[in-house]
Amino acid sequence: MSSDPTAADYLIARAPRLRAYLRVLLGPPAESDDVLQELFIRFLRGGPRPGGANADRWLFRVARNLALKAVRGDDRRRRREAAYRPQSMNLPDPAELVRQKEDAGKVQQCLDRLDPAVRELVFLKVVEDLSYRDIADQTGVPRSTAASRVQEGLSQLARCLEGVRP
Amino acid sequence: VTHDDPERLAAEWLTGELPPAEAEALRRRIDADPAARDALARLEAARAALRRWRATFARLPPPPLPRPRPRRRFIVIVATAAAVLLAALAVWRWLAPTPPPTRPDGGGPPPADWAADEFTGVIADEPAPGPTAELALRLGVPHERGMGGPPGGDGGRQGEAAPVLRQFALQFQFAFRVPAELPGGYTLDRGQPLSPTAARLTYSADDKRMQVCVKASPGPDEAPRRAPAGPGGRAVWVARRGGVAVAIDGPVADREAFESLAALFLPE
Repeated sequence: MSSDPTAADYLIARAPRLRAYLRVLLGPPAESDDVLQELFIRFLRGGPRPGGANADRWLFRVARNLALKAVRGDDRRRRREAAYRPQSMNLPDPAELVRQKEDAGKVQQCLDRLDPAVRELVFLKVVEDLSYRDIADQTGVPRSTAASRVQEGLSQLARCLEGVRP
Repeated sequence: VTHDDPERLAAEWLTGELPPAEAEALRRRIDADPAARDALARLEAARAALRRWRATFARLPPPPLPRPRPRRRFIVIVATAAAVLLAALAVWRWLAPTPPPTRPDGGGPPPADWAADEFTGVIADEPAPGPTAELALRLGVPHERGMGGPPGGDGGRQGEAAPVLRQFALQFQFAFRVPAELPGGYTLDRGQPLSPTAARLTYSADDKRMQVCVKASPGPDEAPRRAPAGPGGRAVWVARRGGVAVAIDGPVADREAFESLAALFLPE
């Protein structure tokens, strides 16, 4: 554990939200825990005071920056690997097939079908319940654009999820 | 809300951040429209599914927290290293010998200038009486040969200026020559023994004046050059040959002119 129990408790309490956000940002294959570790290290080294007014905002903003950086690096790595991968290796992941039978897997699958930018906006609005003003601060997307994309993304998600019972 | 698409109406109500009155009016429209009600139900189900999905992350084992190295230890290490370095520097400065003074351009200590050492203070704008009684050189007498030869030599004719010059010459411990005239119409009008090893001779021509200092100066021969050995650091011509140094302060045209003048004073 960290030497600061307050900071440790604070981070552990926010880990589920941050993991979900990173999963939304990173998509499959997710390396969210690696990014989460990097995020925690930055928070413990120079982040705001745990529980302060800006601490949550800081965590989500830095998580987003780290995730986008990881995605860029991951894209490069995947392009390199794809150039050398035999076609016969493109088989579905058995674990992924099993997960698809579960509700959570279905939601994840539907989320992954959304455009990444829309996916993030839907998550921030519908799951994190941020205002459009906060979403605009976090992502740089104008409020009206974010609102229309959230509505469109939520409709796509609902169509995808038809058949999944609460 | 101006559009009529049931799904857009439902999405607007769900996520539109509408003012209360507008939201209430929209809700009435949705309740009155079966298609909009269905759309709203589907969107709310999607929202609930999303939130359940997010809740699954809470069931995951907590992530390991990193163990950042305490900054305090790093600061202590850096501060200790800096203190040791400063102490070592202080000891070194205390033990090391003081370096010689350097010139402003960093070129090391200034070289000793033999000419400045020999003639600074010897050449004067207005020659003062010497440490001994000044010898009056009798002007107008034919002492054209001056004081030549070895110390005490008879440089003049019997009964003329030679006795004075002889007396003058006997006061010195080194050999030099004193010409009665110099090129350019200069004539010797004053001789001052400054010490047993230095003499100051003054020549004049009309309104021009030339001062010649001759001094015993042990050391290697030095080529003629201009050196700041005059009053206030004024440059004068200097040279040394055979242990005798000559400095001339006056209208000397160039190095060649000085060489020819100096040759008249230096021993053969």
